[in-house]
Amino acid sequence: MPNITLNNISKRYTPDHPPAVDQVSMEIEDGAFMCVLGPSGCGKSTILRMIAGLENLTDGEISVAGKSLDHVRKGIFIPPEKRHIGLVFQSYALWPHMTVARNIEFGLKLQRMPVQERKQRVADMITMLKIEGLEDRYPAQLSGGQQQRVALARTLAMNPGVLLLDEPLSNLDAALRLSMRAELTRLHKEFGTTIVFVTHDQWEAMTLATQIAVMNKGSLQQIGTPDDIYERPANRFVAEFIGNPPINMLPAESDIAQHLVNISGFSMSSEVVAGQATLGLRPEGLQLSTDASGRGLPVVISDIMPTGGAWIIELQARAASDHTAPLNLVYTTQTPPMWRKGDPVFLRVAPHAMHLFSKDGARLPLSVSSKTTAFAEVNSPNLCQSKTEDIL
Amino acid sequence: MSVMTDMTCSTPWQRWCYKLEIAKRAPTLFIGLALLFIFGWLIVAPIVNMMFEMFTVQTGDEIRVGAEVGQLTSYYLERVFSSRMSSIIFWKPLWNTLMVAVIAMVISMVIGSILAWLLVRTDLMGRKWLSTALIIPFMLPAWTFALAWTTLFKNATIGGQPGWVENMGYQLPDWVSYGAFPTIVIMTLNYIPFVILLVGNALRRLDSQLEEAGKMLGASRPRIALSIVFPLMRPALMSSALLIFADAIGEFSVPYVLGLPVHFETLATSLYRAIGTQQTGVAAVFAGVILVFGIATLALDAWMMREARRFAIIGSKGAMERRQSLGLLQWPAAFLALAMVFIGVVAPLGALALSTVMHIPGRFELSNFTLDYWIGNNLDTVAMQNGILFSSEFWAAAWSSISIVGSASVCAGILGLLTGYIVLRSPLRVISVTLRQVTFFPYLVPGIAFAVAFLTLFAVPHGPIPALYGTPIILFLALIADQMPFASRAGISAMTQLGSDVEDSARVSGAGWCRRMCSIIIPIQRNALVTAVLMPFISGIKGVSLFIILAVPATDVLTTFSIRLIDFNYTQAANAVVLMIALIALLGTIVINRLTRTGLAQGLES
Repeated sequence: MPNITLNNISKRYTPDHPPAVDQVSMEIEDGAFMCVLGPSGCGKSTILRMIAGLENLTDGEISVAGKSLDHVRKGIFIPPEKRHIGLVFQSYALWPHMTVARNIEFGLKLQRMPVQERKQRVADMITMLKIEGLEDRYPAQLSGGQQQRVALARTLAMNPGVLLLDEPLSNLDAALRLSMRAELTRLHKEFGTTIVFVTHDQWEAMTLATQIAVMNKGSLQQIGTPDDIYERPANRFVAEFIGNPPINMLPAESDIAQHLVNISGFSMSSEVVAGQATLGLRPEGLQLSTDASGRGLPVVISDIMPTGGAWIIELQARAASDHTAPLNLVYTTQTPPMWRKGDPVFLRVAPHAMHLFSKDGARLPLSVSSKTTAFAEVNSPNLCQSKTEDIL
Repeated sequence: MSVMTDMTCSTPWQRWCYKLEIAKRAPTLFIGLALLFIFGWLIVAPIVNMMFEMFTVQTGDEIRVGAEVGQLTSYYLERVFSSRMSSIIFWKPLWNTLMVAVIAMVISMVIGSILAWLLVRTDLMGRKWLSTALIIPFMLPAWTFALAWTTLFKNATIGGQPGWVENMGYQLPDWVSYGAFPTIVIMTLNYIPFVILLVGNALRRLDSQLEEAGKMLGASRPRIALSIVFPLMRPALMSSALLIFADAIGEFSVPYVLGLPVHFETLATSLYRAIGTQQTGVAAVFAGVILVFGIATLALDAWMMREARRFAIIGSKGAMERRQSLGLLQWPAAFLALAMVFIGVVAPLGALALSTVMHIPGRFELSNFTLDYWIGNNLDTVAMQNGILFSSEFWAAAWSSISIVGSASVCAGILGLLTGYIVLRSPLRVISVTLRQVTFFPYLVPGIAFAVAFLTLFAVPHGPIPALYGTPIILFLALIADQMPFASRAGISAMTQLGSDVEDSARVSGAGWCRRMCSIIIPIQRNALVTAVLMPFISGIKGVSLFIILAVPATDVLTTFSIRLIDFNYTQAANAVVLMIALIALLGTIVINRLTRTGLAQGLES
């Protein structure tokens, strides 16, 4: 049963500026762990605040479990205090004049929960989030990680059906991030709550979420599982935003692009090439070899940067027939490189690491080549298949 | 994943209904409208009404003007600006006002800036102690110093008890005792602490690395002062100069005490005289002129501040405070600072205090000392039979001071915090902008002009509101309106620092508006609320202008009580009352400084 439904929601702060959220629709299933991912200013936090009721809609409808919370056309607005949706703020927003225990207790008091039960619930939350011994401290006396646990405890104590998290891991250091990540996953399993969180950090999104919605400039780009988003980016923005180091982008009409496509057994139609399309190559899908017989593209290693356990290698490619400036490509690997700066090597690209986008950014299919182009005749005589199929 | 999308858009009417639904759930809009109504009534209406009075025939003037009451007329404007009388009733006082304001401004700027630099940027000895001592005059009412002057330098021209100096056998000419010279001196002394606070603060923020960068490039010290420090300080200097000027234009109490005996009139005292002789139309013109000066000056200040923001200082990170060694200049510098403490604090307060325990001023003999004026009983004087601490009049005045000013300040503080809340949270920008400006408006209007405006509106019944003149209510309302600039500034700055997350998280936890106010906002803003109450309280306790126009003997407060004692020439008791007022103001300021670690200086700037 669908839990949260966003139906064509928009938010416009001023009439003369582009909308912060532009006609976004999505369904978040009951029990989902959904991430809204995008660069800062893309409207993702606005969406979260709209679900919580803290931000009003300019248009559209939000419903949870079939009940409208906001419905502009019907004039329905349920205020945040009546929505029973939990929200953990990026700043945690703990009340500075209350102790940890009183912070957690506040919402329960408002629900008129009997004292005994209330004390028990607070104690349970404190145990579950491992903040024992901090009950009587004030927020100012806590570390960032502890503050976040208190903020989570305060929200979870209300037992909300929907839990919203604003950048849940961004204020934590590396070690805390890992443990908090595990904690959130555990809480999700234990409570079975629908969790929606927003982040600009793809690592956070990929490691936590079961579903990711990628946003840019107020509009939804793609919804899918982390694998979907990474392996089948719906458009150029998603491809460029996901992946670290970012995807290599080169003009499809360049000889280098055509060569790489051809040796991987694909072809691009002449309309695509003429239409200023772009070819994206995931850095981790590049393959280097010293073997000249592999019909790979000859490139030169221009830089090797160790990043601790992985290496980022910069390659410079120049097609013999090309008079344009050489192209730089980035390659990343987890095996120690056996080359040095300046070494000539041969480059191929794994088929799954290639993505083609039209001039306006839409994903285009790469077809497996049936007829060979002039370029491919020279360089890639085989690897052909007889029928054309789309790789999507 | 199926997404069923309903692409139909809402109509403007539907959006409006939705917004109304939201507004119903959050009372911000309604409270905002209520505040606008209150301030419209308390602040805008009196001033607009006064503007009308300038152009309409007032009661009692029908025959002179030759028209019915309420008809449009230019009589008052002509009488003030171009009649045979106007050089006496208007142009001379205007000239006096401008002269006093400009000279006091220039001298206080020069001395104040030097002292600020010594306190902030040099290794002046005892600067910590000095920086507190030097701003004491700021916490005291200006006319305390005027009274101290008369206590010391009064001559025999107007009779009554002579001053100390005269009693010691020296004849003083009138120009020393009364008029322009003492008015300028007292106003200068009163504004010096103001300059020290504002300029000192700006100097403190000026990164000394900027000066050092100049030094590294080989600039000489005068060169650095002229081309780096002065241009960067110019906004602060100009701003303090203009604020002083605006304040000096409307200053009433000092020229009233020192100028009247020799008919030295300023705009404010002329206005008071016009009110005293029932010339409301003329008084409205005077008030209008003072108002125009006030608004023009502060508009100029606002404009220059906006210009100044264009070269905001970049890179305050790692700002360092280096002090210059004064070397041999240490002694003259310390002498200057100590002299200012003596002239501005020790001498006036000492003279006032001593005068209250001496029968005959300036005669330092044991037999001449007495505590009668404080705690005496059955004294054989005409004015007061008991010392002030035993006089029921004093305690009645003290009580009505504290109750009227206190209740007005509590209301102003609460309204200020609410204003801050609405200014930051209002869904409609127009409400927050209007509220911010309307609550600041009384700052542009000198107290005496504001009092007249209040009098013209509330002295006569309007609709359901009866005539309020002679009741404490008019004082109460006028005080609230007059103190709103301070209260609303305190409220706005407190709410700005709070951020909306804290309230939003309570909202999400299920707290309604009242609950959020009581359990979250007010407890967190406790100190800000106390400040928003205390600042108006101090300023109200020591203020004169509002009371002298609006109070009647039935609603005697400490300030009017002491001024009446001055008028009776009962100096000792008057001084004792003034000292009590100063004491209350001083204690209040100390409490504020304790509560807000930022202190007075920041409060002034925001």
